[in-house]
Amino acid sequence: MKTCIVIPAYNEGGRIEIVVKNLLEQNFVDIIVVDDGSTDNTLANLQKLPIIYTAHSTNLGQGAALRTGTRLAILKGFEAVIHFDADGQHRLEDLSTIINELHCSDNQIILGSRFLQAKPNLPLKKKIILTLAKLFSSKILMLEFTDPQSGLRAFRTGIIDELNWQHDDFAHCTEILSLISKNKLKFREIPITVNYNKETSSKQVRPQISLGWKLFWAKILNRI
Amino acid sequence: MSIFQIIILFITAWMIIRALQKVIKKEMSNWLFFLWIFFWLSILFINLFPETLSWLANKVGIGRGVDLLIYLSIITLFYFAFRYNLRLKKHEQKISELVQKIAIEKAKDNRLQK
Repeated sequence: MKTCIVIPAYNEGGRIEIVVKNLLEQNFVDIIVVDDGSTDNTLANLQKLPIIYTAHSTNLGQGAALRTGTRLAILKGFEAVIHFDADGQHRLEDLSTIINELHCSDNQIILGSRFLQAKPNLPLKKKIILTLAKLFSSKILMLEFTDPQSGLRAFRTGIIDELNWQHDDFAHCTEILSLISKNKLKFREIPITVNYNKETSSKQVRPQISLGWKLFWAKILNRI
Repeated sequence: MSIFQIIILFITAWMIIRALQKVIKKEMSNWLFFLWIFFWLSILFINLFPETLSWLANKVGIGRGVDLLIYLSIITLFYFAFRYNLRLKKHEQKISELVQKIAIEKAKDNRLQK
C-alpha cells in the first residue's frame, strides 16, 4: 500500500527540518510538507530535502493544510495518508505501529490516542484541558473516542469522500471523529506517547473555550 | 425649522448627490440606487413632517414615532449584520479553496532528485 506522510507546518522554524530528516533516516521516504503561510523560515531548509512540499500563500489553519496535503497525496496516487505533527511531538515508533495496523488490518482509519497509555505523560495543564475536551466531546457531541484532539491518524485514501472535513482550523479533529461516527467507518484507536518538551508545551493548547463554543454551534446546526 | 432638521436636510441632499454620482459612474446598480434614493427621501419626508412618523407609530401600536424609528433601525441593522456575516463566510471559504488549489498546483516534488 503506497503510503504518504502529510505534515502541516506553521512557523515551525528549525524544528520541522529535524522531524523530516528523522523520518527520512528511518526510510519514510514519501513525505508531503504543507507550509500554512508561515512568516518564518519554515520552508527554507526543507527545499533541499527529497520530499514533496508546497505552501499556502496565507495562513488558513491546520485543517486546511492537512486537506491540501491529503489532496496532493491522492493526486500523486498514494493509497494511504498519515497526518503527522511538525513539531516533533509524535514518535517514529508510534508512526510505524500505526502504519502496520493500517496495512495489516481491514480498518479504514487508525487513530493515535494519548489516553490509552497506562500512564499518559501529559503535562498537568494539558491533562486538565484535554480531559474537559474529552467530556465535552462524549457528553455534548456524543462522540465516543478516547482522544478528541489527537493529530496522529492514518487512513486509506479510498474513504476520502466520507472523510471530507470542512473546518480549516483545529475543529477539523472533532469533525473527523464525527465523520467516522456518522459514516460508520471502520476504525481503531491505538495508544501513542507524545513528546512534550519546553518548546512544544509552550505552544497554544488546542482546545480553547472559543473552539468548544464553535463545536457546540456546529453540532446544533448539524455541521459536524 | 430646527437646526437638527437643517443638518438632516444637508446630509440627505449630500447622500442623494453621492448616489447620483455613483450611478452615473456605474459604480452602483440601478436597483440599489432606487433603494438608496427611496431610503433618503423617506428620511427627508420624516424630517420635514415628523408628525407623520407619530401617526404611523400610533397605527402600529407603538407610543412614539421615535420609538418606531429605533425599532426599525435595530431590525434593519441586525438584518444587514447577518447578511454581511454570511457573505464574509462565503468569501472566506472561496479564498481558502483558492489558496489550497494554488498550493496544489505549485507543489514541488524533490524526490526525483534522490
